[in-house]
Amino acid sequence: MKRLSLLLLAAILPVVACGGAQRPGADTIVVAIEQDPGTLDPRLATTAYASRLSALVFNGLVKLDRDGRLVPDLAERFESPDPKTYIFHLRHGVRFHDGRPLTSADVAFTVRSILDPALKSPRREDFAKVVAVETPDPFTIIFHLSRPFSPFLTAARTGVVPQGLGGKSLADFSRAPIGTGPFRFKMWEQNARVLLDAHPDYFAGAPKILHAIFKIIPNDTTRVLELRKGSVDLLQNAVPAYAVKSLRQDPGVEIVERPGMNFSYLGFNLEDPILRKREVRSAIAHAIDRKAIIDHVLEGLATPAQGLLAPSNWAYTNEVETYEHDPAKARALLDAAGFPDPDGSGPRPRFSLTYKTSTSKERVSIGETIVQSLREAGIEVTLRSLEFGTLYADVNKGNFQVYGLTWVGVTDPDILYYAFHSNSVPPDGANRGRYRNPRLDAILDRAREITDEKERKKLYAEAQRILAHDLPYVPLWYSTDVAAMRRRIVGYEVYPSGDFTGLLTARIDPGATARAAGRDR
Amino acid sequence: MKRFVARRLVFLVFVGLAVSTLVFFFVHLIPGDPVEVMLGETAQAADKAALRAQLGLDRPLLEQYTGFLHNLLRGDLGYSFYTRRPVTQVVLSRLPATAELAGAAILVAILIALPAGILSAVRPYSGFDHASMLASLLGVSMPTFWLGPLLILLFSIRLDWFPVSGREGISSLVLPALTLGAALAAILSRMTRSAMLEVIREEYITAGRAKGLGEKTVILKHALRNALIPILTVLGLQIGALLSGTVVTEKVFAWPGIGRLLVDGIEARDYPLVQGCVLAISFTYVLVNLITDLLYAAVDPRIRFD
Repeated sequence: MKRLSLLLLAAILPVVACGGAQRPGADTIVVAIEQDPGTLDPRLATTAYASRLSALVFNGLVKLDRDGRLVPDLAERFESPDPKTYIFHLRHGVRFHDGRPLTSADVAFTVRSILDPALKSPRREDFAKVVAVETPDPFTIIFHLSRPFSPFLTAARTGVVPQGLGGKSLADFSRAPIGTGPFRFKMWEQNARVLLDAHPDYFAGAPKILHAIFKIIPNDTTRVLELRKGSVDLLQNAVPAYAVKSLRQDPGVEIVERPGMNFSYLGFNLEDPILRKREVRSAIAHAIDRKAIIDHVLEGLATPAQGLLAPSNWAYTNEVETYEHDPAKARALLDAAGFPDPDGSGPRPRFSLTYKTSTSKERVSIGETIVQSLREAGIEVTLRSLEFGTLYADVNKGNFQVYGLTWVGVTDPDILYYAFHSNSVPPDGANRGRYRNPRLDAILDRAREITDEKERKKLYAEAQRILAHDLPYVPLWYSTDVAAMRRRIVGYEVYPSGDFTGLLTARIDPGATARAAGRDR
Repeated sequence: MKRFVARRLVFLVFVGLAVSTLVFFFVHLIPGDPVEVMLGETAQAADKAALRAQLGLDRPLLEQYTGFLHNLLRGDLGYSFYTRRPVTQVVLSRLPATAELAGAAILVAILIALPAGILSAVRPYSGFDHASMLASLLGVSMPTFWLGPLLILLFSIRLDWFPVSGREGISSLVLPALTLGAALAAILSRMTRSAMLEVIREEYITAGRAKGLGEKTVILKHALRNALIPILTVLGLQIGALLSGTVVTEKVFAWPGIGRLLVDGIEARDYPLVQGCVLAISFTYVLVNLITDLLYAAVDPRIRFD
């Protein structure tokens, strides 16, 4: 019996093994992503992958270019005759994937549907200041705002859907959308894969890659193994740092890096009796060896940060206070703050803190390093690694002393209002540390209301100086954007925050692998 | 027999009720907010409150619970908060993938465990016996999330026989089924060995041999059949472990089954979806145990259910 079943197994294995050698075809790119997008409707997108994939199927009135600046997209130009009015002039000859031409009625429909509470759109707040939408002709659309609100232009990036959703129900549309984008929807197997095809009539020129398959692979190791095998062509910001090291050794894989803007930080609860003292926060900033963490835990795939806005942001300033690694200074600051070390370098701490972070392997090892650094300064820290939903709920409720999180996809400097204005204490925003500074509030209020970019830039520079001094966050680093791809993919550029815009210009060259292998040896 | 099945089906209703009550309170009591996940970070407090009211999440928990039970009795599991699709539809669409994986894993386990266990019992303390018991010790102790990548490295990257992950065609089923079936095979082969050892010492086996029956007939027909009851029991009980094992295996192999649906649901605090998944899993478990009980009668005619 045993021999029989072994024979059986031996007979079955080669038969079913035929599919093992499958590789993507010469006109198809396979991209592995970490999560199911959940929806492809740009009005409903809340997750990173919903935004990234819907950005391939849809266009907004404006878009971000590779340097993170807003440039025209469906709008061929736009103007703001006064701070409460925005006029967009649409491109001519843009067609939806079902062949229908794009008009201003589609844009008006998109914005009105977002404002309708029944849609439950997460974008609703972005458009909340819109009081009227006018469409004087098929290629002009005018928005009237209730009050000046310069972040409105960022909201205009939201993808435009066809009027009446092309005759589909909302549920059908969000699973099989019709847009104007470079790729049109083909198929979606939930939690398995999303298939997109090039849109031959795309107004900015059809992509050279005809088919794009997004395989949903939640496990880090599995994604990397797929890439090494060659059954996946591209991983973007979906490679753990420790795996990048091993992928660099693989001659079939190319790694492309670009300074990113996802910002990791330590957040403090400013209502905590110890942490409310600026000296303590400043001591913590001096105690942490960010360079060591970047080099050893993150494999060099990050750059030290000075604040929430990354250097690529138009409002960024580097004229702020910085906090170099200096344990002696940290100890001196703590002494001055009234927390002397009870037994010098002995085991007893000055005080104890709890640090909450998520369960990801990388975050835990970062946390352990930080705990170690702070212990050297005489601060005892308990690391608590919580499931993300629980962590997030605790942080929003103010149930923490110190937490570690990352801001992802920050483009508009108005994020500072959302993160630090005293009106933004949860549930009204993300001022989770309960930071309150009337001077900063006034600056952020003003920056929202003027449209002159130079003036705004000055105000935001001042805001960044205040924040770097007050330290409601200890800025840690900006993660580097990393794309790991098979060498047959040529001309793929990395865009900020993991967007797949690079697919528009990339092409597939089967010969590139062989040539690269020859060069490497 | 009919009465037995009917009674067990009534029992199923009570199990369902108990499980759904537990699940309902567990998912509602863990910290976290589904509204936060649905509306995204930038939503205003007023919008969040409106959505909370619309979903009934602002009502007292007990009231929400009676509403949930009421809908459940009508077979309505509600809508997933996250995908906004009916939970019944979502769960049913994912069940076949998990059933396929679990079925294949059981097949793998039986194909490995029965021959190995029988051979070990026939020649106890032989080289083969020691080797197979060592292998089963390894099988039990190797965690799925480690065995999975190991199998991928060998069979997919090195030998290029099977795809790394995904669910496309039968070749993609082999590695996840081996991974998931390994632990079950290990337990099952140990059980088979000890059950067979016990039976082989019985007098009717000696009688069979004395009667001149071939060794094959004695072992496979007379001994194995009588050893099957404990093997079946373990198999039935292990289905529960198998179903929870799919959660990890599905993640490693990007297999779009119900285990991953459940984990995603918990992460998004998608209460209706979590309830639907857990109900489906627990019903499967109870049903499998019912089938196990019915198989007892088929294997051993002395067992009656009246």
